[in-house]
Amino acid sequence: MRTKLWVITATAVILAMAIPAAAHHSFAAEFDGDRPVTLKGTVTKMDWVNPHSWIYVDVKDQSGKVVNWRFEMGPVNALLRMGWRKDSIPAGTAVEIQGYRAKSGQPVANAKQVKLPDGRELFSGGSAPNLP
Amino acid sequence: MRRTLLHIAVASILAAGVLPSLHAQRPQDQTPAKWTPARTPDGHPDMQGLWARRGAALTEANAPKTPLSEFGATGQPYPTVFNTGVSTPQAAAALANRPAGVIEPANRMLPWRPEADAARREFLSNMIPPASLKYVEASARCVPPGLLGGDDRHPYQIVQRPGSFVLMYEYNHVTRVVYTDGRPHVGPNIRLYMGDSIGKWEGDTLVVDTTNFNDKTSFSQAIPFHSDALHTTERFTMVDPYIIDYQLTIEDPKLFTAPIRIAGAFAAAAKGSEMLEFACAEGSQTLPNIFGFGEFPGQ
Amino acid sequence: MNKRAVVLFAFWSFLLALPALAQAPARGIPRAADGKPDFNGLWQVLGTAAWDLEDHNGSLRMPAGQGVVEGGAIPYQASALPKKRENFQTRDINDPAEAACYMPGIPRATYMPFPFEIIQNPKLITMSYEFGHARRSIFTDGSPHPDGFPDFWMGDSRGRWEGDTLVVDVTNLDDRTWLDHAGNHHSDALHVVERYTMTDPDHILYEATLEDSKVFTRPWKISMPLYRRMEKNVRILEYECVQYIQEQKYGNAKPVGAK
Repeated sequence: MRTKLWVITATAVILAMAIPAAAHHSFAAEFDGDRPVTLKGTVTKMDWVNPHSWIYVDVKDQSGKVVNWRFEMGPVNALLRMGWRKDSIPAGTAVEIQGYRAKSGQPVANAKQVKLPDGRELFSGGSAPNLP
Repeated sequence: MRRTLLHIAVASILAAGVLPSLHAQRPQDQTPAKWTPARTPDGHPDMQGLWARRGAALTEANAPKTPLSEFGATGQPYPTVFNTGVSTPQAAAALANRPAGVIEPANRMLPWRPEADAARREFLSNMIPPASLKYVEASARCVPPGLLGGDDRHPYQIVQRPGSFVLMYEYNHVTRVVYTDGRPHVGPNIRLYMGDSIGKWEGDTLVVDTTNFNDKTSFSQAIPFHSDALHTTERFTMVDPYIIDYQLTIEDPKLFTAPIRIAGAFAAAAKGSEMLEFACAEGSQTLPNIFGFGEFPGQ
Repeated sequence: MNKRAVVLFAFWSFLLALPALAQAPARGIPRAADGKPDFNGLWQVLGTAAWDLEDHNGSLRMPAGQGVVEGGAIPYQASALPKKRENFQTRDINDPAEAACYMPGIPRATYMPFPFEIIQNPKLITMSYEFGHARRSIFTDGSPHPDGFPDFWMGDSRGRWEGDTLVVDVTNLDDRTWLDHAGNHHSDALHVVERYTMTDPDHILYEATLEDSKVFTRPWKISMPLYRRMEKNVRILEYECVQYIQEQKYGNAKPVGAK
């Protein structure tokens, strides 16, 4: 049975009092804020690690070739406290992910939001800036 | 003899029964007593539990723009507030009305030594892209955070024992044991990322004196280093069941010409929250990404 | 008062004090406010389990040691032996604790050659290890292991008291930790049950039973004493091997794309 996921509401934003921005690490060293991406694909696996968890997604490019993308998400504890569990997004789930590309040009991005097939959106708990 | 004992027994029972009701009959217009904390067996305020720290940052007016701060705050609500942040609307309201960040100097113009300010601006200009390992942001290298470099989106656990007050950071699993047993600081050649902390109770306030810092931790994105002359004083005072008032004084004579005082608070976490493991180096891809080699195992 | 009153008084006093006498410690170990043995303090293992849990001879920078495994050998399934051999041969570059300073996991964190501090209150016992400032929380509030959590390097620990023995149940252990520097290993099915029993004020008997249906043929047990660090004003210091190793690996390196 898939664990029910929580969706963060606007009230949570109000509760997020002055958290110092100082805390987060080098988004800017690894990712490009000027290169947003939105990709659709199928989840292959998820790595629960700190300081950033990763979700791996098979994405078909324009030529039809499948490339396995790696998306950086928030720390394990952020995901757990949002209600994510190990079985929350099993391999094979179709997702749409918004994020920012890595500067290296590799198929790597920092994920901002993960959209599930039923339209629910999960904040990744990651570090990327607000999307437009 | 038996009669005497009987009298004593009856009198005791009656007294035990009557006294409580005497207390209850006190007039209702008496003003409520000032809140006082529960106490640990050795008589100090019991601050034990899981807390979220808020406000305690080296907020600097006219901080230089840094490549790191280019993207500003993280934007997304960080979910720790659900289970480890504010536990009640009253605590939320209290936090909103409390001072936060630098309160002395009041204008938050930090009293920089000119050469130290110049050195940090030079340092900042080498951080994106990092010119070498030391210019990679400290938190990305999993450097123990010192007193201010930690990520306050992760909670803190307080445990008190006779002789010490323990402040555990979930972030990077560092643990500060503040000794209150009268021992001296360690010798001057022992240098620690988290410093060496000695505490003293002044009434119901715990005053923590920390020395013996090394010079390897970071204060903030805009103040990426400090010297080993750093000396801090913290004051912990529980003001109600949901808020511990936190004051931090920083003295670093190699950076600043005067002490700086910071205000913050620890807000009680929601019931049932637990400290989780925050393993840092174990999962970090940052340095292999930045340097192009060195993923473990194998490289 | 007359003699009879004194006798009566003594009789009743004794009767009323009986329950307290029954709880009095037979061996004089320190007790916490809740009556449980007080493990607060710094502890350290003196043997060589950190290098190798089984019998081993001396070699450069490694002392000889008699094994701590009950029965002598770790009962591996035959299919798990090649990995043990490969780990041993490559241990200087592949040991996650020694080569990368990753947290050692349980039970290895107990017997690393560094002190650890037990920080105890009635609902929470925390072990703060000097090696890499590793730490774990042992929840003694009756809560169960959480459902659906990922694995942790130091596992998820839930403790309870059986008389004067602290029994700790550890699950969710990341399969990348090793059990020692000799490369003894386990899978994500590892389940460890530890027992801490104070034998006198300055010694704890540490026992751990390990079971892992993917790697071992049966549960097996290790045991060793923990010695209290007796020095005046002793405290946990810092062994920040992540930083030392980073400096070694990247200290002279140039980032990709650096000027």
